[in-house]
Amino acid sequence: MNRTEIMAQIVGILEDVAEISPDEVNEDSVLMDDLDLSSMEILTIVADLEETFGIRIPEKELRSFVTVSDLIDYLSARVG
Amino acid sequence: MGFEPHMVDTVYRLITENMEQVYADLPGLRYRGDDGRIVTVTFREFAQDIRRCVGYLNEKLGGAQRRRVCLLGKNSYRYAVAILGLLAADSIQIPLNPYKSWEELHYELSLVDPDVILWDDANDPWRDQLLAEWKDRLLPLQECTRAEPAELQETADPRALAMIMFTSGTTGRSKGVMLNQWSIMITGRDSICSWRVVVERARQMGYTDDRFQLNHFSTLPLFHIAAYANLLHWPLYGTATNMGDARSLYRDLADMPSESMAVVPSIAEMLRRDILRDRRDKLGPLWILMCSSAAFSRETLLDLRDHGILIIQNYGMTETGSGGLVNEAQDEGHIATAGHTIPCMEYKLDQGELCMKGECLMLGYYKDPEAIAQAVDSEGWLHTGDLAKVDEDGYYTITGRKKNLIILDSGENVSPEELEGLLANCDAIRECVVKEKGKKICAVVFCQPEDQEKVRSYITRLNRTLPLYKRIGAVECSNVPLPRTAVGKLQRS
Repeated sequence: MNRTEIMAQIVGILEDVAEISPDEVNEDSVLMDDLDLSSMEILTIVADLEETFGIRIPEKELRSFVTVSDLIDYLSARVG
Repeated sequence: MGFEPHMVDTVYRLITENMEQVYADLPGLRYRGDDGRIVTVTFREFAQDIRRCVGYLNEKLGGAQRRRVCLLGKNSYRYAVAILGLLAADSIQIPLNPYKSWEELHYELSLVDPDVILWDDANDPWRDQLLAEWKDRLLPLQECTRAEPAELQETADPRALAMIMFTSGTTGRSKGVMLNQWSIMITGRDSICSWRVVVERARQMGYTDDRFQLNHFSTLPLFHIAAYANLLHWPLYGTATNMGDARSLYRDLADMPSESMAVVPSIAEMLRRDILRDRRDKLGPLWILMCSSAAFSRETLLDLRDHGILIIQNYGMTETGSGGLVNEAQDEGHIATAGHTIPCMEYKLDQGELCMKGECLMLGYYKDPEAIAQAVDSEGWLHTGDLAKVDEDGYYTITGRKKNLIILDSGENVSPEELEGLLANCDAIRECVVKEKGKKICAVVFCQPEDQEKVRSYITRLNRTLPLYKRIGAVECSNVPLPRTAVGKLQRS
């Protein structure tokens, strides 16, 4: 799966979990700042990503997810 | 099973009466096993594992009484067993937060100097550091249910030190709150006021006495007082605890149907959204929210109430063994208050600050007489740091904070000074104040206009080193020095 496809999945999940319009999301969006996500919502998004991509994301990786591109980088390394 | 709780006031009685007799064959705990399937443990089986844990501790420590044992791990069945096991063994337990930085954890471990550390070895984020420094004192949590069950004895003194729980200090360093089992058990007894409201609603819904058992879902960490106290309280009511993981909340909730759930504001917010978006099916049979840890938005509570959810709130602190105020009122005038008093405590407002004393109060801060002198006055009143007012019906509303502490929607307490200390490491930051803004941690920074990008990227990097709840979610840059108070301190509000 390429970056564009991964981004599309993330955008879909953000819309579903937090009602964030796809227009508001880009790779540089900071999850907590720009997208106004709570830590609880980030966990839910991570759970949805795990389900979508069929992977388990280790706890220690969560710290590195600050922006949308952090998520894409991680996911493309795992499933790209 | 039924509407009437079986009230006891010691952990020994909780195990030998509630778990081994009164509610023995009912589900006591559910959790997701290593193979991904849900495991149901009856109260009797839970008690048996607690006895095994006591046997294990006695064997490993050559007698566990009064020995200091740190608990280090995320929520698990074994962790829950160990909490009760250590109480039953009359040890002194110290549940630690494994998500803290190594520096903080190291400080807490060194301060406590434990006899042993029960840890979740495979999953510990600080595995290498722990092995390097405390190798001889580490015992794996997963072994604690593998010994022969021990005979239990009633505690010699339920008011003796049984637990040290670290809480965020206002000066950066955490403080070890010393508690006994009495303070937590007595809070369980006094929470009966909200149980009556639950029973009343259950009757209206058609439940009968002989078929009523509540299932309570919680993802809150057991190293925090709310979840810790609940673990001891629910067996008083024969209620099963469904142990979920915040990372798989909806899946866990679907697999462990629950009528009740422990929530912090950020979870309540998500549930409200689910209900308003007609996704109630995600929540199963849920009809009670046990709200604690931080203030909840009135609008959210009213929306949930209007959709049939019973709202119960608890206001408490680690320093009071979770006890404090209870709110089961559903009317618009009171639903968003912190609640009314409970019998085991006394209350007063001192220049607007809520003060409490009584049976739930901590024994002190571990090895920190200076902190205790600041928090508890010569008459024994704990100054909560919360500004409050009380209405004519006896309901308290928290109106602000006197102490400099950020209490987030996740229920976590964060010391602004700690984050300010980390920000000070960035050369471009001339001055900074960390405060709560719009439910997020906000850093207000004075720097040169050309350094703004540098500051922002420093904070992004810093965030990658912090646990989720401590992240700085907003940055405001100022080109001029930050406002100061009359005595020259940076203004916080």
